[in-house]
Amino acid sequence: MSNVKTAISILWVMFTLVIGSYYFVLTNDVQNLERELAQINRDIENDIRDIHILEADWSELNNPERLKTLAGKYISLDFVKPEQIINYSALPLEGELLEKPTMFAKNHNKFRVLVSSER
Amino acid sequence: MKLSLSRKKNTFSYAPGQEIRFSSGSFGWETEDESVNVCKRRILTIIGLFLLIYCIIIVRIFNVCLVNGISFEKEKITYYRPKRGIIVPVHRANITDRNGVVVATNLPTVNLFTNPQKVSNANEIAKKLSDIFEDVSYEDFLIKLTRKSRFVYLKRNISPQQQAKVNALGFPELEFQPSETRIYPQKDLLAHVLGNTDIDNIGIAGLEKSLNDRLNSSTKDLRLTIDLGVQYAVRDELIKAKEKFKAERATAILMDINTSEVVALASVPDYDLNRRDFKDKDIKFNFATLGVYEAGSVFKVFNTALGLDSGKIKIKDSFDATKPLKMGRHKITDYRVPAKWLTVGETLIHSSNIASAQMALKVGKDLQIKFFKNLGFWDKIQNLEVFEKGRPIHRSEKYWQDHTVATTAYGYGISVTPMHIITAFSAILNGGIYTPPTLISENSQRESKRIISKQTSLDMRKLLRDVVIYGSGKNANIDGYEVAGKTGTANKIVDGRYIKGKNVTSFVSAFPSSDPKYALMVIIDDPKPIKETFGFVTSGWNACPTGGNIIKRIAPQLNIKPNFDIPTQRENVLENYGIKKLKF
Repeated sequence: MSNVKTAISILWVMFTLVIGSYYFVLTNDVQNLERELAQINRDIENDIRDIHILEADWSELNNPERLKTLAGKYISLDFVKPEQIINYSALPLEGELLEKPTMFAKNHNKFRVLVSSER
Repeated sequence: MKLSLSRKKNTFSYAPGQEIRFSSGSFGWETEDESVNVCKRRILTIIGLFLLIYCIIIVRIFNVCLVNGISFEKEKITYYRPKRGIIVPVHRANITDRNGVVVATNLPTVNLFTNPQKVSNANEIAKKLSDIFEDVSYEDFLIKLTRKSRFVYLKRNISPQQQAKVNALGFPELEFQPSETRIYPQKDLLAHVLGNTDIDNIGIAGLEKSLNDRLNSSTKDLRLTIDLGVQYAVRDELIKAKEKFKAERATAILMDINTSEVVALASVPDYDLNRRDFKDKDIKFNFATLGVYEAGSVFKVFNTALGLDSGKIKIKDSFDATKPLKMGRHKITDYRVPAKWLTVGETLIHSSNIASAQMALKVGKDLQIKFFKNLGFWDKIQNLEVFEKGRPIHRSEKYWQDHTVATTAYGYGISVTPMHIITAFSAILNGGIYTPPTLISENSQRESKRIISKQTSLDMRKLLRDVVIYGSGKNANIDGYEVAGKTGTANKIVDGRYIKGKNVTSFVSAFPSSDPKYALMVIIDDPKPIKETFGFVTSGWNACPTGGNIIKRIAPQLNIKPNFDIPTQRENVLENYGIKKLKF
């Protein structure tokens, strides 16, 4: 009988130790995850702050005056003229352009036709 | 552990810790009971102590690991967390244009501060700080460092580079405080619309002032109706016009004619919003919403619309403009108008004061006042969000006599702001619906009302289109865009007196007239005669071509298709390829 009692006691002690150990490991893992989460949140906040600053920077870089200067300097772009906006049906026929192939080749880079969506 | 000692002498059976001695008479080991007891007590004491320590450690481990957890000191986060859980790094909301481009935002910075009571070497610190911050003198720093207070800002909103330099100085008295500063990435492009804030980020002008609470209470971006690209084009043309005509000021407003949303609003001279040290109040003056002035002939648009809508004037009616109109002691005259009977259309085309006055007198005082009230000319402009809004100047109803009725017909005797005029003009041409103007996108706080019939509005479109084709607005007749508009030139009032030779010229227009989408108003304050204008300073020579240039430039941006017929379009294309003539 005493052996049975001893065995049960040992079993309980073992059980308690196992549960306690598992609880300890689990808590430890949770704390590590919480620490990791806090770090991730800090990183997110830092990233959001950086993005916020970059948005302001982007806005400044897109200042129309600056873009106009750069466009004029590097790609020879100018304002769109009303005459450049036309219908599809107003596009010159192929033959008309082929009649003046040299002229076309000479000028086609200078003039970009903006075609309106309406036919 | 069983602690049993052998009682047998001269054996080598000893318990751990048992005292072992050599016996005196013979060679061998000897144990004594008393010694064993002492030993047992010592062992038990040590075991007890160890158990106690282990218990304390176990309790502490359980306490730390399972009960309270390890208390990491959490980093103090200064960011504002709105209810929805969105993290935003600043406290004041951004302002963006209608396409979402940021035009005003807060950036995180730091303030440099100290407790002067703890500063022992003020001279040295002041000297080194003045080397880092060139805009603050040594004396200024010294004064701050030797104050009797316990807190003083030495420099606010310093850059990260400056912060690093101050840190490198190694003075523990110098401390940093997280802060924010308002910046305007587009600098002077939206100066009069946005206004700006003081060093504490409190709005002191423009939208920043009028919407201060909104910007501080919500971190959601405030989206404007302004289109930044169009705004740039409008402002750019205004700057050119101001320089060309050596004017004191130039102002323009572009409005969506159907919604009364302000797409562009510029008044030059203006200023870089990031600089807060401007002393000159003149450049901060937003003429578009605060500048109350007599608009001159532009008012003939409203006078004509009133006459037609009232039914008292028919579009084919004629008025005698062969001689000046006498009003008591005063005479109403015309400027370069053919002396003949003029139809309603000709009255606008030639901009006849005499005929307009006759139309107004025929309509009468009561209807005129009621109409002006409907157009919002009696009060400050309603609903508009900017802080700076001018109150119209006019006679009270009691003193609104016949000569007032006559002069207001051509824009004298009543002063309103350009915003009043363009909003009313939009209502006249959009089908007759008046909607208060706004600068805030998706503003649902406005109520529209009908002020004239749709037919009157359609008639006005035709009449004003004729003004641009045949009349004083010729210089704004941009091919393809069917501009309709009216010019106005008024004597400028300085210190309560009309100054001869000084004018304020205006041009108010809408395009395309067959189905108006946008209204544009241009005002040039005191333009000078130049060779190109043959010495003229009237609106048709300065405000009008400026308006034309603006329309020509912004219409493609606004996705307005020019109304060219197909052959003209093909000619345009081929002409650009160097082919001059074609047969279709």
